[in-house]
Amino acid sequence: MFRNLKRLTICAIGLPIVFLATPVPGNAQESLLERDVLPILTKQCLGCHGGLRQKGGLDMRTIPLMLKGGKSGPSLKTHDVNASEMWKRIAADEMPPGDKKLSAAEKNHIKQWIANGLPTVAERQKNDDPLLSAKEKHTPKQVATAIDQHLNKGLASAKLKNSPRSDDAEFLRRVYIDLTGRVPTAEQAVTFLNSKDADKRAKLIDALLATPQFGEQLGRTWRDWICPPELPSDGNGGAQPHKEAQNLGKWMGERFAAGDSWDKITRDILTVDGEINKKPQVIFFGLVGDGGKLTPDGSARAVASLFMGVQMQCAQCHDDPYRDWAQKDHWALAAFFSKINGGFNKVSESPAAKNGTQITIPKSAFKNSGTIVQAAFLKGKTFNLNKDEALRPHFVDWLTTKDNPYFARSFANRTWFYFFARGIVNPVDDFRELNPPTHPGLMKLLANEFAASGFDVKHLIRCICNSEAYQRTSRVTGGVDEQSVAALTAAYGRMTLRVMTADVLYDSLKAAYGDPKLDLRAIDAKDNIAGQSAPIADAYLEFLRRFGTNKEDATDFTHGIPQMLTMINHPRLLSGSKALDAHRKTTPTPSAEQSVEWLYLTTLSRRPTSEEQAEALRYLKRTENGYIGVLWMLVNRSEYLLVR
Amino acid sequence: MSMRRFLVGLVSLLAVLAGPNLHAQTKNAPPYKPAANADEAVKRIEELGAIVRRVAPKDDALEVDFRNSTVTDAHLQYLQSLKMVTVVRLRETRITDAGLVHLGKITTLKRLHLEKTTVTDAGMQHLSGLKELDFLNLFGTAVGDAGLDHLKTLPKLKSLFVFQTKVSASGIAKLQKAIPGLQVVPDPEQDRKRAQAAWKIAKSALDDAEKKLVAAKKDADDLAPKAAQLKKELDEATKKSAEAKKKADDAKKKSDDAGKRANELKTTEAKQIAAEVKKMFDDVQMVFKSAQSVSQATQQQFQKASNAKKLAEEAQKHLENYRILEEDARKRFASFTRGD
Amino acid sequence: MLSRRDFVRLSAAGVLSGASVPWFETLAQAASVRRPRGKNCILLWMDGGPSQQHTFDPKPGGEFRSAATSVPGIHIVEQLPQLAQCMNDMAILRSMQTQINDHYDAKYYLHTGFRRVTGFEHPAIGSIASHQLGTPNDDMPAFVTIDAGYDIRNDGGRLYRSVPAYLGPQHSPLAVNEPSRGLENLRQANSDLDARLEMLTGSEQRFAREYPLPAVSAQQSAFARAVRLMQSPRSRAFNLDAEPASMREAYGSHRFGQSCLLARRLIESGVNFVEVFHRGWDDHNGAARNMVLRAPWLDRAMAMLIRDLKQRGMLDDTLIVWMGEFGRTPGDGNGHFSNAWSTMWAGGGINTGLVVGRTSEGGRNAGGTVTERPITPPDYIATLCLALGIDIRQEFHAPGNRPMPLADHAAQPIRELLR
Repeated sequence: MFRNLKRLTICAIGLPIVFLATPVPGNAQESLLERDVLPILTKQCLGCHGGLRQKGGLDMRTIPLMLKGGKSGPSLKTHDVNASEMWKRIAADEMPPGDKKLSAAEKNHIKQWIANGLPTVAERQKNDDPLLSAKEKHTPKQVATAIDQHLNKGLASAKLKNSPRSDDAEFLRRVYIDLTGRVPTAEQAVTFLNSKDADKRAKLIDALLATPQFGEQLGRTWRDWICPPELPSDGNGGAQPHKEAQNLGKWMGERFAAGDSWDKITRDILTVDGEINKKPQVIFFGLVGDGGKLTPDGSARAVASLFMGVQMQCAQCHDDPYRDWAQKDHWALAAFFSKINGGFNKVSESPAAKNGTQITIPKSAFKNSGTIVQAAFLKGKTFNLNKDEALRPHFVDWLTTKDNPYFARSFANRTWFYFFARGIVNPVDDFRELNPPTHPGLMKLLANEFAASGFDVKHLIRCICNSEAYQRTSRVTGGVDEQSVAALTAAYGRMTLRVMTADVLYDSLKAAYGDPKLDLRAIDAKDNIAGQSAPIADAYLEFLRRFGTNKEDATDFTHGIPQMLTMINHPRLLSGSKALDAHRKTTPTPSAEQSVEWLYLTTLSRRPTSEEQAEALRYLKRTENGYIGVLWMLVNRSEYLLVR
Repeated sequence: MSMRRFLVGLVSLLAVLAGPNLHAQTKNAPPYKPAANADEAVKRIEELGAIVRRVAPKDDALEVDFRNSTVTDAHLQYLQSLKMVTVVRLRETRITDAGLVHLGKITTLKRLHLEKTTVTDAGMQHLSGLKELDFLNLFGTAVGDAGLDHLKTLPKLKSLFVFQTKVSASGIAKLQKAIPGLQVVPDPEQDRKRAQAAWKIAKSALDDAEKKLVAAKKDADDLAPKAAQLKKELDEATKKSAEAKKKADDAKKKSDDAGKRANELKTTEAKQIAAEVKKMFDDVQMVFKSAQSVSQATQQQFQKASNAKKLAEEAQKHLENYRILEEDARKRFASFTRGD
Repeated sequence: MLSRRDFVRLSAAGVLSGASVPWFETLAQAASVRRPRGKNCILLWMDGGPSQQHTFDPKPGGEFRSAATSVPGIHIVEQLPQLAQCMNDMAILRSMQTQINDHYDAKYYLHTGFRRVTGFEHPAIGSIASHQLGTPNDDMPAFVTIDAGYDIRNDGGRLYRSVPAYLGPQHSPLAVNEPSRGLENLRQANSDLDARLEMLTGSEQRFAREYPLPAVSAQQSAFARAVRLMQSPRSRAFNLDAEPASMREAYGSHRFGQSCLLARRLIESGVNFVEVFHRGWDDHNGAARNMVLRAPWLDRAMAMLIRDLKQRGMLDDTLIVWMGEFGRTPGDGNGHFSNAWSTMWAGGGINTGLVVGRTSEGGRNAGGTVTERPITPPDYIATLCLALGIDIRQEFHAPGNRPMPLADHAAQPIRELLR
C-alpha cells in the first residue's frame, strides 16, 4: 500500500524529483527552474500549455518559449514579477483553472524565480569541468580518482560526510554479483579474504572482468533492458520468443566477454540483415516492434531509449507535453528504419523502397497522421540520399562518432545506473536540457573517457569499480533518519542497497544447493504443464517470471507473498544440497563449526559472528534437519536477497 | 514514510516470529472504553481490526465491517457514536444475544449480518425496533421459529436468510404473512417448483437424446452392413466415371479439332462435320456427368454408412451425459418432495 | 465528524482523484450511479471462446433446442436446466461486440479493456480489484486465480496471466494450480519451522538495525505476511478438505465444480477477486458435441455456486461473471466470432432476471449481428468496475509520467445492469 502510493506520487509530481536530495551549487534558498519550478509546471501547467495542447497559443516547455508567450503576449519578463503575465494569472488564482490552485510555497518559488532572472540548474553547472582531458584514454586509477573528486566536491558543498570503505567481505560479494552475476563460492571467498595483497581489490576486478560470466551477466542485463515488460507475440496463439531473447542476451554476453567495443556491438545489432539462426541479434527489431513485426516507430523508440538516452514514446503520437520533442523528431528518426521488414526470425532491408528517405505518419497516431517527414538526425541536419541505398549504416555512422552528443553518455550513464541503481541523469533515457545531470562534470568525464577509449566497455567498468564511491559500505552510518540517508545516498556518499535480480538469485541458489537444474516450480504446476500455460513448462522462465525485480529501481523490494512462500516452503529448498555434501566429503572430519562457516561463506560471503555461530549450533542440537535447516535460514535472510 | 514502513515491518516480523499462537484473533482484544466522539469511536473500532467505510462514494451512510476482528458484545456500543450506520457485518465473530441489545439501538440500520454467530431466539427481540432493516442474515445460527416471531415488527424487511437454522416452513409462512413482500432464503416452496421445472427440461432433453440415439442406431443398423457393398459400388461407379471422363476428353479433343478445321476451311461441309462431332461430344459428356453424379451419390451413401457407427457411439455418449443431467435434476427435485 | 480520517482513506482508495479530468463526460454521468462499495467477484473464464448459440443465445433451428427459464420470456439452451432456474439471479449480455478474433489479443482486451500494444502493459481486472477493493496488509490475498484444468485438448493459444502493471506487484494474483491441493507452497515443507524461524529472528533484527532501509523493511514485512498467512486460521479457506463431503458432492466432482467451491470459500474468507479458468473451449470441430459433454458439470457447478452464495446471504455482494475471449460462429460454432456473442453475470447486487442486447433473428445467418446495444470491451470493463463499486474516473500515472485512465474514455457503461 505504502509502496504503491510512493510509486504513484513520484510519477505524478514529475521527473525532476531527483533534485531534492542532490547538491546543487549556489544558494539553497534561491528558486531554480529544473529543481523548484519545473515540477510545478509539469504538474499544473504543461498539460494545457505544452507539447500536446497550447491553449491561448502558449507553450511553457522552455524558457525561450515562455518568453515568446502566446496570444496575450510574452508570459514572462525577466526580473519583473509584476510585468509577467504568468505571475499575474497565477497570483490571482486565475490559473490553473479548476479547483486545484497553487499553494503559497509553490507561488513563492515562481515569484522568486522570475524576480531572480529565471536561473537554472544547467546555468549554475555550466562550467563544471570533467577534470581529465577528452582527447586521450587514461588509466583506470586516474579515472577512478577523478570520479571521486567529482563526488567529493558535491559531498563537501552539501556538507555531507561520506560513509567509510566497505570491508573485504562486503566488497567481495558486491563485486562478484555485479561482475559475474552470482555470489562467490566459499573457496573464492576464502581466497580473497585471506589474501594480504594491498592491491587485491583492483586485481580481483581485473580477474572477474576476464571471466565469461562477466559477459553473461552484462549480456542478460542488456537483454532485460531491451525486452518490453511482456515479450511480444502474435495475436492468436500468443507464442513468445523467449528462447530468442535468451539467445540475444547470450550473444551480447559473448561480445562483452570478448572485449568488443560498444560501437561495434551497436553496429552489429542495428544494421543486422539475415536470419536468426545465423545472427541471434535479429530478434532485437522483433522485440521492440509490434506483435512480432518490425515497425519503424518501434525501432526508433528503442534506439532512442537504449542507444541515445532519450525518450520518444510520447512523440510517437503527438508532440511531447513535457519534453522538447516534436512528433516530427520521432518520425524523422523512424524514417531511418522504414526500409527494413521482417519478424522474429528475419530482418531484411529493401534499399529501393519507394519512399526513399521519407516516412508518412500512420493513421494510428493521435495527431498529424498522413504528414510526410524527412529522415533527420535528432536535433541535427536532415538527411537526404540517393533513394536506392540502405539507410541504417548511415545512421549508425552518425551515432557512433566520438563526438556524437548521445551515444557515449547514454552508455556511460546506463552503466553507472547498473552499479549505483541511479543514473547521473534520471531516468536513464531522459537526457534533455531541462533534466540536467546531478553531477555534470562526472557525466562529461565518463562520456569522454568512454569515447576516448574507443568505447571500451571493460575499461569504463574497471574505472567505476576502482573508485572509492563504488567501494564504500552500504551500512547506514551517521544520521539514520530517512532524509539524511537519502541525501547521502543520492550524493554517492554511501553505497546503495539493491535487490538481487532473478538471474543472480537463481544462479546463487543453484551454486548453494549444488544443483544446476534447481527447479522451484510448484509441484502441482509440473503435473499441469500439458496445458497451454507455456512459461510453467520451463523452470528458468518460471523463476524469472516469479522473482523478477523492478527494472527502473533496483532498491525497490517488490517481492510479496508468492515469492516468500516459495523461499519458505518449497520442498526443494529443504531437501539437501550437493554442494554441502561435497564439502563435508572433501573436508577431513569436519566439525559443526566448520560446516556452519562454510554455509555462511557460500551464501553471505562472510564468516559467521560468534553469535550467529552459537545460534546455528543451538538449532543443530534441537532438530534432525541439520545443516539444510541452516542453509534454509541463510537463503531466507534479507541479507541474502539484497546486494550490500 | 519508509521509516514507518520499516517499523511496521519489523514489528510484524517480531510478532510472527515470537510464536505461532500470538496471531490468534481471539486474544488481546482491547477492552471496551466509552468513546467521546465519532472520531474516537472509529479509532477504537479500527483497533479491533474492523473497518469503517462509506457505503458508496459521496454517501454519508456508513458500513462497519467487523469480520475477522476481535469484536465482543460490549464493543458494539461504539456504533452509537456514529451517525448513519446502515450496514453492520458480524459474520463469524464472537458476539452473542447480549450484543444485539446495542445493535437494537442503531435505528438507521438497513442491513445486518449475523451469520455463523451464537445468537439465538432470545436475542431477536432486541432487533424488533429496527424499522429500517431490509436485510437480515441469520445463516448458521441457532435461531428458530420463536425468534422469527420477534421480527414481525420490521416493516421494511425484504430479505431474510435462514439457511442452516432451526426455522421451519411454517415459521417462514407465518412471518411472510405478517410482512408482505418478504423473501426468505431458502424458500423451499419456490425451490421445489424450480427443481421441478429443471427436471422437466432435463427429462425432455433426455427424451430427445434417446430419440436421436434410436435414429442413429437405426442408421447404423441399416447402413453399416451395407458399407462393404457400398464400397464395391463406389469403386465401380468411380471406375465408370473415370472411363466416361476419358471418352469425354477424347470427344472434346476431336470436337475441338473439327471446329478448328471448320474455321480454317470455312466450308459448309466442314462446318457440318464439326457440328456432328460436337453433338457426339455433348452426348458423351452427358454420360460422363451422370456417371459422376452416381459416383458422388454412392460416395455420400458410403460416407454415411461408414460414419453411422461412429455417430451412434457419439449419440450413446451424449445420451449418458443427458442422463446425468436428468438424474441430477431428478434427485434435486426428489430432495424437496422428501422434505429434506 | 470523521471527515479528515475519511478523506485520507477515501482518497487513498482513489475515490477523490481524477475528478478534474476533462474527457470523462460520459463516464462522469455513468459514474453518478450510486453503487455500494466493496463488492467481490468470481470470474469464470472459459478459455478458447465458448459458443453463444450453444449456451445463452440459442436460435430457432440451431443445433441446440432452447428451454424456458425461471424468468418468463427468457430462454437458454436446454442443456443447462439447473442454471435456467437461476435466471432470476442472472443477467445475460447477448450483444458483445469485441472486434478481435485472435485468441491472445482478445484475452488481453477482455481482461483489461484496452487493446494490447508492445512495450506497455495495462492492469488486469483482477489486479484493479485488488488495488481498489483489497484491504492492505490483510492476512488473505485480494486476488487469487484457480486453474480448473481442461477436458479437451483444444488449442486456445497461450493462457493470459493477469498482470498488475503500474499498480504494483503486490496486486499480482496468488495462483492455485490444483484446487484440491490449495495454494502452492502454503503448507510447511518440514516440521521444524519454529526452530528455523527462531534461528532467523536474531539475525534479522541485527541486520535491520544496521540497515534501517526501505528494502529491508519491505523484505521483512513480506516475509512476515507469508508466515502469517501460513498460520492464519483464515488460510484454511484454501483447503477443500475442510468442506463437508455433501457440499463437495453438490458442486460436482469435476475439477471445475471443485474450483467454484474453492472460489466460494475464498470469497467467504475475505479474498476480493477470484478468477477460475477452464481451458480447451476452442471448439473448431463443432461446438455441439463438446458442449453436451461439458453440460453436466458446467450446469451443476454454476447453478450450485449461485444457489450456495444465495443461501449464505453472499450473492448480493458477490458478482459472478462467466465469459471467454469471444464467442463462436453462428450455427455449428466452428470458428472464432467476436461480432455478436454472449456473457453471463449473476448476483453482485446488479439488476438481474434480464437480457441486455439482442442479436439478429432468422435468416441463414441468425445471430450474426448485434441488433441492439452493442457492448465493447471498454464498456464491459467499465461496467464491471462500476458493478464492483470502483470509481472509473480515476487516472493513474504509468511509467514515463504517462497518464492512464482506469477505463478507456470511450467507454459507455451498461446502465441497464446497474441499480
